[in-house]
Amino acid sequence: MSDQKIMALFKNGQRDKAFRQLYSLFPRIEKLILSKGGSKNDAQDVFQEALIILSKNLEKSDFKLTSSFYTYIYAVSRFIWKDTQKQYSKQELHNLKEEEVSIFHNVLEEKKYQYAEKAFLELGERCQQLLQLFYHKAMSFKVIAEMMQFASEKVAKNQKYKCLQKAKDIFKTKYKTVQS
Amino acid sequence: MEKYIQDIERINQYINNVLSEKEKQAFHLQLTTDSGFKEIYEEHLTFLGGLGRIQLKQEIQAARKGYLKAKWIKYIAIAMGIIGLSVLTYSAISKEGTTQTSTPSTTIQVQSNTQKEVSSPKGILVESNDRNTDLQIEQLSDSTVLDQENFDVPIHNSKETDLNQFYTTVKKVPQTFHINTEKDTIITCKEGTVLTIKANSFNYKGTDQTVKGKIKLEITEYYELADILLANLTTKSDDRQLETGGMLFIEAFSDKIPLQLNTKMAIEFPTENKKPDMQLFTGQETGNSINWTIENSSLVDPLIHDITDVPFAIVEEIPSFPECKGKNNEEKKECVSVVFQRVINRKFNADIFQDFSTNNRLRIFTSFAIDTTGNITNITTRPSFPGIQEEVERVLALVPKLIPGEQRGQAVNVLYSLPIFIQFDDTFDNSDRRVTQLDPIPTSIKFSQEDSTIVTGVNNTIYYDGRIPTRKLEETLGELKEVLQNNDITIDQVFLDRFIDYKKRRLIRYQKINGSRYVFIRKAVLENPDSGFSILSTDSITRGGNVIRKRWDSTQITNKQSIRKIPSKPVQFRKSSLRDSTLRRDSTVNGNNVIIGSLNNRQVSRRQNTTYYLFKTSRLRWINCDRFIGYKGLKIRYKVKIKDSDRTDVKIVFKNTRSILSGLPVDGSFDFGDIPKGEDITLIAIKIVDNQYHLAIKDVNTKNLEELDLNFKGYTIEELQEELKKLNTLF
Repeated sequence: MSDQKIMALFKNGQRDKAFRQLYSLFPRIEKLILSKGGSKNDAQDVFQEALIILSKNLEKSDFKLTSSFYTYIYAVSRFIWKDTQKQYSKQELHNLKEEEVSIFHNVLEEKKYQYAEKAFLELGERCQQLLQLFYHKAMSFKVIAEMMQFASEKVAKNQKYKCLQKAKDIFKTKYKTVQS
Repeated sequence: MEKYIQDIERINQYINNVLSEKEKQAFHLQLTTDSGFKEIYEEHLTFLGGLGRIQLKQEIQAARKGYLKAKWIKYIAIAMGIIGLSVLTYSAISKEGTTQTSTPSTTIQVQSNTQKEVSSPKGILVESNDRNTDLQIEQLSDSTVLDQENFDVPIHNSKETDLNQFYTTVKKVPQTFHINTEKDTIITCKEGTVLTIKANSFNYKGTDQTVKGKIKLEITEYYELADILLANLTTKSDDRQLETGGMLFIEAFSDKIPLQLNTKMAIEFPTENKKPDMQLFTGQETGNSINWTIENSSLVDPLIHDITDVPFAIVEEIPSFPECKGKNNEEKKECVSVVFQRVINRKFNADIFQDFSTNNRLRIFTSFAIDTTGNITNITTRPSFPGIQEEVERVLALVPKLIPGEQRGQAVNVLYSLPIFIQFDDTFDNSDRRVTQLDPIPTSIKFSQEDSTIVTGVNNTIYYDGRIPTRKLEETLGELKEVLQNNDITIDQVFLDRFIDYKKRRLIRYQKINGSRYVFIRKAVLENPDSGFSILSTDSITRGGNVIRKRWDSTQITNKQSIRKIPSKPVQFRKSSLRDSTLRRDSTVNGNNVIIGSLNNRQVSRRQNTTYYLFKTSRLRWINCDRFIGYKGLKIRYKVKIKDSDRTDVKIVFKNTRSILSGLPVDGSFDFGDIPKGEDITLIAIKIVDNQYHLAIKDVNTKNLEELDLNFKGYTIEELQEELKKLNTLF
């Protein structure tokens, strides 16, 4: 399938199909990671991360894919791998091209979201479910209250804010310790 | 905690883009000034980003599984393919001998059929020798055999061939319509028959396969006596005499393949003199005559069928809210409009539209349909500016569900027009500084329900209440388009009325300059945003701000709109205003086909007061709108004896009923069966002598059996047709 068709899938909101098409690039990325000394599992993680960055970028209005999907994902994967191995040399960072700089920033930015994700996963199951229902499924509190058997809409609402705050607290402490 | 909840709620609203422009600005402001708020905002964004990752990861994992699965399926498919291929190759090599022997046997079969055909009188050409043709040929040869059996009856043989030949030569040419089956179609034929065919109604004959795209409909109408006589039609159902309200012959083809209906279409037979008990009959041609059998379909109430959209002002049972129950219609109308008014007053957010107002006033015309389930659909707003449609839709969604309106006890879509008048506070602009709140608040929203029968154009059909003749309206509509220089604009009745009013007040007037047609439009008209008139780039503007515009000539008008009279309640049938217009042909109304055959003037005037019999049927070919003649008086076995009756066809036409019977020749006289006694009839005999046509017409009464001495005159076919046309007044 051509890049244009995959792009169209993204635009039509058929992200799952687009991912499936993009997965045909995986063997080549896997080869890259293996050649750099990573394991098969590492390759999975890196590829997944690259797809996340790609799809988030595609949602941004100012982002334009200048190269093919393969080139882009390859570049992103390379940075991700380097980042996890902490292999940047100062020399290297100086010589980055403009596009590479933006990819580099994307990778660093995504790390922030990774922490947020981890913080979220540390929440209790009920909290996770509640937040997911609200933010992903865009359900109203009324429906959520019914589904999760809260006493009322109001209880569900309050509970949601408590969960949210808790997640953010976890995030704050974790992220700060990492930063310092 | 409370503040935090509020902040998060606002942030969510901001992200979901549901804040108004003013609120957004306030939001941005707070981000720059309130660092605590900014922190919460960014934190929330990060959190949402993290949450988004979870969703993405799930999708990616699913994609990975799909990818792996596909990979395996691919491997398996390739393996299977290779195995399959090798098996095929093997079998092909081993069975080559057998295939070769089977081919000639097919050919032989075809040839034998062909020979049979050639020997039969009609002779059928066989060009291809695949199995399908085989089948067809077999059927054809069967029918030929049947024909031959008919020919075996020696007495009628020669006579019938000649007369049959005559009837084929004078066969009326069908009207051909090309329609798109994917759309609802209304066809008006030359003599006034109206067919309403729903989209996707046609199947290939004998299959369940729906036909898509263009098809050809061939329709022949038989209303006039001459047409009926020349088509050798009679009005008899087995032994019972019928009175006809018109006969039709309809066939449908897609690339010459015959089609059938898979659902019912509506047929309207025009009539000037409506008679009760009309029923739909379908005809079977039996040798040289036709027998009608009753179709299992009774007369459909004429008002119901295509009036799915009924204007609010005339609908019999007004759509209402539960709270309006138990009131009479007038009170209900009031109650319904009060409910709309209440919802609009409370919920309509007018402040975002102040920029579009003139003199702090804004008029928005909205119209919509209350559908058969009580929901509000098809919302249109005018004039259009950004956000108005969305706001109206949002507010109307808050209106409680309605009880659908009914016409003749059947739920129908009801068209409702709802103008919204907004009066912004005049003093607002000056007092801006003193008002702490950022948003202006409309002081009042006035609301009114237009009580006339005016309906704004939900579709391209303009419903008009008949105050002005349709032809005149159509003229005005053309004029309006000439003046607007716009074919695409939707013109509704309000617009038309306004235009007529402007002309009356000489705010718009026509001028002729150097022989060209110009229109002069006053500034006042152009400044009124509701007028629908605006300055075009090609206009010349006078010093006073008025506009002089060259009118389009009529060739530039592509007429897209049609005008329909609103059907009024007490009328038992639909009076059609379509029929006296030849203006619109092949015009498209609401995306549907409306096809109107060219009407000739004589028929138009004749059918001025036309009403309709409406039927629904899924049958094609011969269709007849008839009723049984319930004659209670004496009957007579009527026979007419005519000298030298060889090769003669005799029919009798009843003067008081639209009924035609054909005589069965028995021993030199013609038997018409039992018919009412004492009826005035006209006897029409057609005879062939020495390849020349002879016609005799005689008025008689069915009191006695008579031996008539008919006075035959020789005619050519054309002259004969003319003679028969003179009889049309009998009907």
